[in-house]
Amino acid sequence: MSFQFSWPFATEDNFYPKAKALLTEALNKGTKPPIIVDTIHVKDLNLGTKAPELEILEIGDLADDRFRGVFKLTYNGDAFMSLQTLVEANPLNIYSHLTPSFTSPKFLAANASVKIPLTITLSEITLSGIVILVFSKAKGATLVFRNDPLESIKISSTFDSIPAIARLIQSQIENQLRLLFREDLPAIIHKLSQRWTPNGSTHFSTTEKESAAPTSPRMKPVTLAEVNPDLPSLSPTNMVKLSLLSSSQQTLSLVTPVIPDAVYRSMIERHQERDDESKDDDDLSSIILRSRRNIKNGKVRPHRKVFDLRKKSHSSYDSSLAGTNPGPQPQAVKN
Amino acid sequence: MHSYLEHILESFYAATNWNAENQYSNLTASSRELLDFSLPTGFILNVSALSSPASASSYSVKNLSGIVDGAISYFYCAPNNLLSSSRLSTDDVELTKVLCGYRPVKLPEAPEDPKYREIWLGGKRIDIKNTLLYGKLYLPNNILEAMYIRQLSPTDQIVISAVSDSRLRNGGTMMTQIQKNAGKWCSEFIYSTDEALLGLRGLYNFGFDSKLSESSSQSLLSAGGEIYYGVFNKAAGVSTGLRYATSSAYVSTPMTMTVTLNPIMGQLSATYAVKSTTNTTFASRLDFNAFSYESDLTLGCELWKRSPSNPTAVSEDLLKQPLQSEESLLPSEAVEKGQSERSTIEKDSREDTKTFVDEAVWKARVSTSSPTIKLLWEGRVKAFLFSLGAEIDVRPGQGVKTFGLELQYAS
Repeated sequence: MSFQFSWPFATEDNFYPKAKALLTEALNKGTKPPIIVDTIHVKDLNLGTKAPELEILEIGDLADDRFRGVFKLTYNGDAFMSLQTLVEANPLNIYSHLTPSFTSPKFLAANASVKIPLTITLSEITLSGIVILVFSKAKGATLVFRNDPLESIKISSTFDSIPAIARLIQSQIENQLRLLFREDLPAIIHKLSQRWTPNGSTHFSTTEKESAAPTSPRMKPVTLAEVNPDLPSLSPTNMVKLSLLSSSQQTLSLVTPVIPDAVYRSMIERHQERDDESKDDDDLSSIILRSRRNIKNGKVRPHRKVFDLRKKSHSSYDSSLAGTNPGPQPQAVKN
Repeated sequence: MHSYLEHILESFYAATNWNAENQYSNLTASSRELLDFSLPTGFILNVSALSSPASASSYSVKNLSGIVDGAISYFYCAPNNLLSSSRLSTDDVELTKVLCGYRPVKLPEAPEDPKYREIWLGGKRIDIKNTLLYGKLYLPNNILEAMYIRQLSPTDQIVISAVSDSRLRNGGTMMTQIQKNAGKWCSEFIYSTDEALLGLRGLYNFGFDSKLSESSSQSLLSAGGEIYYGVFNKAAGVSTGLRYATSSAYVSTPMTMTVTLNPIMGQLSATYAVKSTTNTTFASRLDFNAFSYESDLTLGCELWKRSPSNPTAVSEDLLKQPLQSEESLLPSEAVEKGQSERSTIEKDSREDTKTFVDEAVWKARVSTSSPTIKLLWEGRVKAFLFSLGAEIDVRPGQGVKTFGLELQYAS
């Protein structure tokens, strides 16, 4: 199952100024490394024409007003961003900021500060990561990266002609971006999503008034169009399936609708079991997995087993590991 | 306001005739005190005591926006009579020494003959090298600062300072300084374990004759330079500086002019500090960068409040005076005669100026690069030294940026 984005999704005229303001705020938040001596301005921001690919790995919770899912995000598009700031050019000035003042040799003028304007353009961003998205109507959306999504990035700056500085900037920015994805991006997305929640801004209040007025604000149905207005509406069959799925969780219905290429959390073990039995039993990881499951199910009492690892060559171990995850089979990710 | 450590160091250097003003790092000390003074942040309380003639301890508590932390520090010096003559208690300390402000340049002197430091007993030398040990533990951050100063001879000194902090790379840093101060010139070699920084500094005084014990002129022209190289980060830095200072009102108004140049970074900085009257000092600094064409003008001033001492206080002082001079004479018995004469001259001059007592100082500083005014009031109330500082943003809608109060008590 996958998503189709109409990219870029910036329908509002003031999306880019707002996004720039939020990014500027996020980039200037906290303590900056001493090499950056001015506020970082986002000069240019463009989301490009290619959309990221999003693959559903798991849906943990689905209800009227909340959603939790795990996705696999891959992006290899043409988005770019350029930043402008002032950097300190004197390495001794940076040194005098980093070293404790008590043991710092009191520089007289050797640490004189020289500020150089710096323009950095980030492009050719390649992302690949597992995303956990939690959406609640009352609290907005929260997006967390499970791993470090940044695979590669091209950074071009004023100092491209000096390889030593270019390398330093590349590594510094990669570190900052990793921090951004880990800490700041969830905050930005949460803030942006606040506008789509009922107690957020007035942007959707008019459309909500037009729709059939619900009795209480808590019971207000949230439509996918509210979450992302540009998304093409779901097909009726999908909607029926989804409503069946959600009602099956709320009622005592014994029937759960089948969604192709998806594995339910309650079925994960059975799914794996079937996989394992079909496979050769020599694999070390499968032995451990099975014995652990047997212990959990109370079938077998734990007893000591000795595995002789020397007999196995590494290549066979790797190939058997790769065999556990056949291509089309979706990955189950535990929360 | 100087910290207790700075005050102890100053007393230690005064007692051992070490002229720290002769170091290149202190070339711009006067303008730095007037223009780059630090403001207290939050509420700080320091309580210090000279617990024995050889040791002192200091405790400080700081409250910054609800977070309370503290520090414990200990001092030890050998031989143990070094600090006994200095006035360290906040009750009777000279305010001009403990409150930072214009520092008249101390004219260099010919180094003391090492023979005067020798003490022989029964055919054996029993004198101890002048040593100062210092340790400070910050709580609850568990940062440890330590310093060790040892004077190998009247012209040679080793300073080792170290910081232990788990948040630092390698868990801490250590810096060693080997200083040679020969009066006419002073050189320093520096090695810091942080990035393996090597440094060399030197200062040369023109027109100074070491054969003349008393300086013939009251003005001083000095030139110096520094060079650093970080072995690991391959960072280098150079600067040169020139200072002209007059220290006597007979010649002209006491003033200090400095020019420093960093040729690599193209930074030129000129300072001018002048003690216009006995109670006022003005300082200015012009920074200019030849590469980025950035310039900055900083102005600062200090105003001393001095009140005529009441007659009872004078009589008390007069009663105290001989006692103190006796004390100050005791350790200087071994010192050459010329110096004891100098101390009596100083004593006389002190008696002359005794009619006025320092009470407090106002300091202010503005700069063209930042729209803020720094204000500092320092003074003595009872036996406490107060330091009250604020940084005010003059742009409309902005108020006080930082505000702090520091209290110091030492016995």
